[in-house]
Amino acid sequence: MRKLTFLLACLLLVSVGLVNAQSKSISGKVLSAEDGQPIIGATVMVKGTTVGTITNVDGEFKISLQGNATNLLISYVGMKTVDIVAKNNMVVSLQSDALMIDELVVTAFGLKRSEKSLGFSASTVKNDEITAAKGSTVMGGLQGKVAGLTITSAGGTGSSQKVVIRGVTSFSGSNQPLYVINGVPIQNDFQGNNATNNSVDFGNLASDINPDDVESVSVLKGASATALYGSRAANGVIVITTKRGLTGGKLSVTYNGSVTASNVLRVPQNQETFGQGWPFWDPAENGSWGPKLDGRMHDWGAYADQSYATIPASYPDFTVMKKPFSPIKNNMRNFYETGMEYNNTLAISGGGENTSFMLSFGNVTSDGIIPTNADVFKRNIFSFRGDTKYKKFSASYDVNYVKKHITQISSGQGSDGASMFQEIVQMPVDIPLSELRDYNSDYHNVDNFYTFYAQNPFWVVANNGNEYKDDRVYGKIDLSLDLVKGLKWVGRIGGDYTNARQRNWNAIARPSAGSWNNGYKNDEPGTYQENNSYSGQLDATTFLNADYSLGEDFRLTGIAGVNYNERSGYTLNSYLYGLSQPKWYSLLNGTDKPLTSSTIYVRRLFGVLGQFDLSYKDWAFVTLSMRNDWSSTLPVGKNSYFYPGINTSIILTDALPSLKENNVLNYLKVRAAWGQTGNDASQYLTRSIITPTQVALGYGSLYTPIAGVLGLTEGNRAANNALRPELTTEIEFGFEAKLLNNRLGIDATYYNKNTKDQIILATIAPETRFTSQARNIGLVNNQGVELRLWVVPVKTKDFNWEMAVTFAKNQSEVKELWAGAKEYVIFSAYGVNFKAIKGEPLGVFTTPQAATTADGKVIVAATGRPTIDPVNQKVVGTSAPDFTAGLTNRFTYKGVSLGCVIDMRQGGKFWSNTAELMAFDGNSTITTYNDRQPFLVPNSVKNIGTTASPNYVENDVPILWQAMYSYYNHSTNTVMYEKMVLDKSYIKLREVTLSYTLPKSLFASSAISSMEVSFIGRNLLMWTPQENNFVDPEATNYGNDLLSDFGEFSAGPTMRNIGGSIKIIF
Amino acid sequence: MKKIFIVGILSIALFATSCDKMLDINENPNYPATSSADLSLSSAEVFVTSAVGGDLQLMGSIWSQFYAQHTGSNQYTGIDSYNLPNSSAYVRNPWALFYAGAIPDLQNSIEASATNEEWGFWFMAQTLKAYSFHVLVDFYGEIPFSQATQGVGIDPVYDSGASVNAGIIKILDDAIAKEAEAKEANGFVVDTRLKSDLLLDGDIDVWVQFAKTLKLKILLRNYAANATAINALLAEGDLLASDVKFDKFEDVENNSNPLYENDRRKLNTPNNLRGSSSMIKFLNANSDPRVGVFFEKAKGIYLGLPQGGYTLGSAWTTITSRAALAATDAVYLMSAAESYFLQAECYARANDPVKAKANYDLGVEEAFIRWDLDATTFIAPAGAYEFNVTSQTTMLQSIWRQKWIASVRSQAWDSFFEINRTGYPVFGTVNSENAAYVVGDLAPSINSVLPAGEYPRRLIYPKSSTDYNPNAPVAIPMQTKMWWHK
Repeated sequence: MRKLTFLLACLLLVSVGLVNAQSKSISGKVLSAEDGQPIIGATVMVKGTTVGTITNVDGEFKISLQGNATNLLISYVGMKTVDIVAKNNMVVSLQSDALMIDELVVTAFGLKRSEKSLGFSASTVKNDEITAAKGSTVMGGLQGKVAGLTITSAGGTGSSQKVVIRGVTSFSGSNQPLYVINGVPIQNDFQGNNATNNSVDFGNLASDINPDDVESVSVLKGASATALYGSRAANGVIVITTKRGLTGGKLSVTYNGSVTASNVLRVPQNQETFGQGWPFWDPAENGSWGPKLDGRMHDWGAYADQSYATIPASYPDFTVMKKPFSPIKNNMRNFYETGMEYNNTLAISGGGENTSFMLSFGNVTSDGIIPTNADVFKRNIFSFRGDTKYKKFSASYDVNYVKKHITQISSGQGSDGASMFQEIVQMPVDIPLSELRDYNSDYHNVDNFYTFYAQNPFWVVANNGNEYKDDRVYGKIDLSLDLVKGLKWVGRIGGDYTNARQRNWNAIARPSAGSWNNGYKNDEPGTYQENNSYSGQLDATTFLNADYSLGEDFRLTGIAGVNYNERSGYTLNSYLYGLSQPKWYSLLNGTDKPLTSSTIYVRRLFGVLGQFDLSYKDWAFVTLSMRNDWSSTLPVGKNSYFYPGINTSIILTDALPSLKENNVLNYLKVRAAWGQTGNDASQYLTRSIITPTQVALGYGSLYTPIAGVLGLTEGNRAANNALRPELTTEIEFGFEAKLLNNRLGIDATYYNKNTKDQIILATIAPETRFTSQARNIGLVNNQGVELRLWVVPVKTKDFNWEMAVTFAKNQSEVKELWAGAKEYVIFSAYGVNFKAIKGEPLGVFTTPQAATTADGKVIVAATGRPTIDPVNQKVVGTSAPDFTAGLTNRFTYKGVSLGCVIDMRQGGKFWSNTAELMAFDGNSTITTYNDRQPFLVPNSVKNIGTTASPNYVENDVPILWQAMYSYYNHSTNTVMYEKMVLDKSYIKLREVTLSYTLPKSLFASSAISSMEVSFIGRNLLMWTPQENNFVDPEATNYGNDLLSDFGEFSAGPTMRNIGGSIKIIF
Repeated sequence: MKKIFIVGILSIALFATSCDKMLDINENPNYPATSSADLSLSSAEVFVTSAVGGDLQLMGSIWSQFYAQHTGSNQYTGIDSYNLPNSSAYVRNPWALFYAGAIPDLQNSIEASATNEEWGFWFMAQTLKAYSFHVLVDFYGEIPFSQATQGVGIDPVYDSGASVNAGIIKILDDAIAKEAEAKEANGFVVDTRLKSDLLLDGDIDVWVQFAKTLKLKILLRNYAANATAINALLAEGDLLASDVKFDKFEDVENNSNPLYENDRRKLNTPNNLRGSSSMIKFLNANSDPRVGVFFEKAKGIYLGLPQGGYTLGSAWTTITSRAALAATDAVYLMSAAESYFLQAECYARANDPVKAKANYDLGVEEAFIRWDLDATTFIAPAGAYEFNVTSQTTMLQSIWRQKWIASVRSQAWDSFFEINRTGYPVFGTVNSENAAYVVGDLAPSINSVLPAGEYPRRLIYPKSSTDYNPNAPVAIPMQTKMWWHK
């Protein structure tokens, strides 16, 4: 303690007192005691001053020793800090303190706190782990590495990432954590369209961070840890700290580059027994309900059956195509091509006496697996980060400019134009996809594509698409001033502004008069949509930071301050249905006028906050935090809410040193925390509105104005001027232990959180005159455990093996809804509903169920298929996993390092429209049950009486082979929906990296100071349960929040990446 | 030190009190706060048109056996197999379009026009509100009425069908009592806002007839009990002689006939709706030229698909007639033909064959004229549709038969009501390909999920009501008859 106050005093005095002092130059070298290898990047500080440097690639340093300073403090992550008398040409060996270090964790408002003082679970991941596999996003690099952090990617490069900490709590709000970079929150909006029709995913804004710029990421999970961040932190906080330049260091240039090739990870598996037809062979069909494949030569394609149309005279040379009636091997896989991804970062850093800087430029360019450049992702990030310290004043300032350009094909259900993936999965198994590539040929063009019920997927890729461009600037200025001893003022202002432009087009597809498809396929008139949006956030905070010792043993630190947050945005959307001139995508090219709408919003929040930390003898810690917010989104006069938190940690091995005596237990920390976080509503829910009348039909709409008349209708959402903030209360306990000479460690947490008064758009009975109302509802409970276990099985001079396992289990329960409500439908598509049901986990699937007799026999209709219970549905499972786990292994041998990350998810369900389509069209392997021979629905009866007086007798109506397709069709046999809600379990080999640091002797005389080359692989292998032989269960077209837990509506495949990377430091 | 804290605390206090104003920004800047009598009325008219011209017309067309779900597609199999659970959008949407769409807007229009004594708008809104409840009660049976649409916090009770009908009559009587004021208001003021009446361009005379004809239609649910009131309406003679329809559609996205927009423009295949054998066989047997406006030829002829025959396989894919629909097809709320058929029925029941025939002939003629066709030879002596005065039953069956045909592509939803009310055409027991099939009878859906001989009679209560309104009754199966059903 005394040392610390002395140091603080020195810090204050040094810069003033020693200006004229004499200086002498010291050079030296820092080595690892373990293997004698130089330590690169060790920090060398003149004790009692702020003067410091870092060691170069040879472990060497030079530093000026001024005045009466004598000692150097030499430190390096994972090593014990050495306090040593400075001598010229000194050689210092650092002892490994492997996994024993007291790491600093960045917590609320950028405050660095010693890990051991935290009374809550906080995990920190360093740059080398994040960037090991050279993915384009920070969060992608965390997969499997942090217990209780579930990270899933919707699709390929550039698509959104869903990050869920300790389970989902909100049904209609956000479940995404708050992202904070260098103390300032940033935006994390989903960009694109996460609806069922024409879905497109341009990622989430928090992915606009170059992983190479990141120093570390801390994951704050519980309410006690996050409360200070305010209303948006209820779902946890991802605290990102970027690399910064060092003062006194020389100019350093780093280049990081990687190239990976990608291919499709999983394509649906199809049956290979039956071919085109429905149920008889038919050249226009897009399903495999036809005859058994016999390998004989067979006509196919347009005009193969003259009953539809005769070959027009305009095709004089048109001869009907022939092919064997056989399944095509790797048909879907061969549709895709090899993608390429290039990832380059150049960073320059340096600094003078008072100022340091880092300038970086990162570029990611990827062309995915879809043929042509329909799925290109380009991202450029320029980043400047500087720090200035002058006497009592210091400033830190960051500015980042991000520019993205993305092209994407639509997934989900095509609307006003086809989407690609749906067309592929509906191809009969004997139609060679690769032969359709020439979509301009007479055989495969819009006129004559073989089937009436789908579009040539190659044509779709070439003609229907989406584009996204954005410009984003975010950054902050952070000023601090030491006022008096132990008291510091900090002022910080951050801004984040994004302008984005989205375009979507569907080409005209109108089969010519008299052609094969004419009259059988709908005319697509062509569409064009533009969406321009802006979103901005201003966040300003000022606080006082105090740090005082109270006597010998106690120390009190704390902050008190205010926070202001303003978010605003606009969107302008214009949609043109019906194009005049083909292939000209402009709002001016209409057969009609475009439909245009715009919206604006603004919301504000004030917060007052404080945090007080009391420590005793550096082994007992108590932190008390509190915050009060006033939000514009809550009713005026009732917009204030307060939420406190308290946590404590005790280092038992320091409190009772005898525990360490037997050398089994090296470190034991226990912690406990209780905290609350409050949250406000979305904007504009407290008052009702009048809107222009636009009536949604089953498909399509009827809009006013019509015939020059506008209609104004009362909005369907009722006002609620009694809305209260929602409140999450969480308690957590945990411990952290290191054993067996720090070769084994465990970190375990139990938490239990209740979210009450949650604000949702509650469904209300339409006869009240409204269909929804923002309401505070009931209670959702989440509880679970998080475990991290690490072990160093082998540790020798040359060879090291480190292994870590993470495990998390979360269980949620909807404890209460609002008065009278038993369930709340979060989302539904076709016959599958995704609900919050009282007493069930949050997010359960329900599907239609068969009507049964009192003794449980299925009642079949005259068709032999089950009849449906018109009222009750069946609960078929939750979207939440039973548990998730990750396994990381790292082997190092001299300069070679091999790492691999496996993560898994056990249990939970998702709905797969891909599975549904494949059962519908006879491609799915389940459709070959009983070789498609007639069967009776098991345990069934039929009613030969009436509804009023039933008479059930044993069912003798088989499902005939001709009607087999109706049995597997979800719309003619709705109990089939249950079979389309699949097990979501998987095991994935996420990362494999093999890297080699080249011996320095190779480039001793060049400007290069170090070089590392790596082989990298991402998402190499995936295992799923047998019932899911369709898709990657992580793939979704429903964005990156709770809705994406619903599943996928023909979302398309995910990718596997393999390649290499190089890192050079000059 | 102390000073800093004092300043800090003061500034926090000041900050806390001064931010209230900055936080009072939660009024949505994108929308107006109020509507008006005329724009609320046009809104309600669009809602009513969407409901009766959209899903209700679709279900009515399939259940009245005008249309059948095609073999080559999949969209309406639930309707065609009588398999609509309470979570179905077909059950949910019409309910919401009326209760959370048309009726609140009509109430707003009624309030605003009463305040401003704009009795013309008031009359229109009042009549359309009665009409809205009429469609609801005839599709769902018991419905929220007396306590409906009063806002959050009041969970409306479901009122019996008979009491709802009495309530609708009351609304219509209240409107008719203000007939003079309404006509005066519209007669003397040239109000450009009248174009907001998208149905009748503010023609209050026709609105009055609409109200009275609607009253007649509802009274006819129970002829015996209402004979006096019916005779009074007939005697007054101020009943519809023209159509009440929404005919301002264009062949433009979002501005077209709702069924067309849904089925033809927005679905990925335009081939879901085929002519039903039940209707086409009858039209062909009588050489009725309307077959050509109701359906499209397939391979040169008009051929229907057996009702519910969507599983008959691809042999039927190219040979059946598609339902003819156009973007500009009018949506009929009531029609002149319907008005005459209603009057004909009243006279037939009153054993006045002369007036019954006169009105019957007018009804058939109107039903032909609507499609620019001539009915003269059909209703002439020995014509296929000559009024059969043999007995009251034959008279009624002549009327109901023609009403059935006239409803194709116009008032299919009303035809569903009429089949249930009259039991005619006959609910057959064999499908239209069976040798025992009688042309003109209804045929059970091949894929029916109901016990043999049973047909849909109503829509089941939507889950969106029964789950959230504690006063909602238990579900009533769709094959359960209502009190006025045959």
